[in-house]
Amino acid sequence: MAVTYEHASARFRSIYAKLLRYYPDPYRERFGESMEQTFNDLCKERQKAGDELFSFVLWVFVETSLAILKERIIFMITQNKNVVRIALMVGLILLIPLALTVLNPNAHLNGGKGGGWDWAPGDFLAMGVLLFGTGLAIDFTMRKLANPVHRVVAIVATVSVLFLIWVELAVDGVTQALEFLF
Amino acid sequence: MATNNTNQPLTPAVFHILLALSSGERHGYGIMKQVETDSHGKVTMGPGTLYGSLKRMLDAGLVRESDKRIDPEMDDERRIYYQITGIGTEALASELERYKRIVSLAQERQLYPKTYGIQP
Repeated sequence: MAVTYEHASARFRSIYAKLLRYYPDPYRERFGESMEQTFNDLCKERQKAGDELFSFVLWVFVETSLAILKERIIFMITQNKNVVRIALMVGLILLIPLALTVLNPNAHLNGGKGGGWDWAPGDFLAMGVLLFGTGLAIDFTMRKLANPVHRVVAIVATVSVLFLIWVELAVDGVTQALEFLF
Repeated sequence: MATNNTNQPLTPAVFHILLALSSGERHGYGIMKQVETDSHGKVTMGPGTLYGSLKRMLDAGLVRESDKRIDPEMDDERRIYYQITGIGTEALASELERYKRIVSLAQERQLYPKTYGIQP
C-alpha cells in the first residue's frame, strides 16, 4: 500500500512539474522550483496523515491551472502589445455589423424584431469574444510555431473552429448537419 | 518596486499571507500551514493562489525574499523564505484598523450575531 501511495505521489509530482511549464517563463523561473517544492511538501503531509491523495491533487491541479490562466492573461496584456492590436482589430471588424444594424431599413419589420441584419448586444458580445479568442490563438501560434506548414495548419484549424462556433450560434448549423448525417 | 498604497484594502489572500508573515519568516509551505492555523482551517490556499499573491506582494514591496536556507524539519532542500517589509506591516495595520472600525460599527448597530455572545 505504502509503495503504491509513494508511486502515485511521485507520478503526481512529475505531472505537476509539467503543468508548471505553462506559466509564463519569467514567472516559472522565479517561482517554479518553490511551487514544486510546496506541492511535494503537501503530498508528503497527506501521506504522513494517511489521507486520500487523488481528490486533493485534483483540487491543486485545477487551482494551479486557473492561476496559470490568470498569469498568462496578465503577462499577455503587460508584455504583448499584439493584444491591444487584436482588440482594436476586433473593434474595427465589429463596426461592420454595427453599421449594418444601425442602417438597416427593415429593423421595424417582424413586430419590431427586424428583418435583414439586426444584431442584439449579445450578438456583438459573442462575436467579440469569438474574434478576440481567435486573434489570441493565432498570435500564440505565430509566436510558438516556427515551421510555416505547422503555422498554416494551426491557423486554418483555429479559423475553422471559429467558423463552426459561429454557424452553430447563428443557425444551429453544426447540430443540423450532425442530425442530417446521423 | 514598492508601489503599493498601504491604505488600499487588501485581498483576503494578501491579508492572510501578511498575517502569517507578521510572526516570522516562512517559506511557501510554512505560509500555507500558518494561514490554515490562523484561520482555524477555514482558509485553504493552493500553491497557485499563494505564489500568485506573493509575486504581486513582492512587486508591491509588501514582502521580500529572505535568504535560501534549509528547513531541518522538512528535508535537506534549500528553500526561499519570505519576510514582511515595513510597507507590508503598515498595510496589515491599516487593514486591521479597518476591520476594527467595522466591528465597532457592527456593535454600535447591534449587528453582531447571537453566536458571538455580544448581542445585547
